[in-house]
Amino acid sequence: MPQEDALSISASALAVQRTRINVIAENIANAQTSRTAAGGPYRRRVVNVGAETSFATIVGAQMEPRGVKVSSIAEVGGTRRSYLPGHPDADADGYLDLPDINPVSEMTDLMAATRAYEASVTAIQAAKAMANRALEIGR
Amino acid sequence: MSLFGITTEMLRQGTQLAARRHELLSENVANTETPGYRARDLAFSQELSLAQQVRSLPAGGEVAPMLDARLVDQPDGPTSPDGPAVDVDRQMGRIAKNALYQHAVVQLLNARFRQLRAAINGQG
Repeated sequence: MPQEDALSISASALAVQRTRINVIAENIANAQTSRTAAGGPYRRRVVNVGAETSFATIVGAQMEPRGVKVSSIAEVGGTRRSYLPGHPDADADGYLDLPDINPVSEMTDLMAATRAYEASVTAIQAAKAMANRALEIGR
Repeated sequence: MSLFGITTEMLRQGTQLAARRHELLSENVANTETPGYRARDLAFSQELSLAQQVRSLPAGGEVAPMLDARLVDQPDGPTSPDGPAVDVDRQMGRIAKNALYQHAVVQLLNARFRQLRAAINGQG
């Protein structure tokens, strides 16, 4: 049933956008984290998004549902040095490595992810409306 | 002539194509953040010529013409190396339009079935 395929495609997009929002929240929460379990300061993470690569043939033949997926979550951020003598993680010169996270760019990414999420929600609502109308045929 | 006729068959194909098109458009919306993704769509350009073809068919013709739609690349603007060529606003507009189209086709189908029911019941 095509509507189900459309629903699963949009659902994959919802999952991806939710992951993005989670990672952005993690970045903001760890903006001041100078020590992680792996050692060193926290590094900013980004979600890489890729198309689901199943084979889609021409119309008329069976069209595989395709969607979107998280291809990887990469650590891309650098660090910035700030002068905080006396901090337990500061080096001998009193400098501390902190993650280089810009809250403004994180917030704009958050807005973009939220809007993309909403767009897929709208697509799901349209698919549901179409399916419901199709069920009413002949009533 | 079959009970349902050409019109019903064409309308049935119309709902099917609308559903397929919605699937494609949802995929475009899902991939607005995918690097290198190219938006796709169904091309319905054949519809008008098909309508004329139907009109020229002999009365009681048994074979309904297939509504033809092609899968086309339809990127919204140039593909940038790092970003996808998907314009969410345009895609959402197409989704709304396609849903309206499906609504119209379903209304026509329902009208067709009401006619049949009236004929069966001997009304009108």
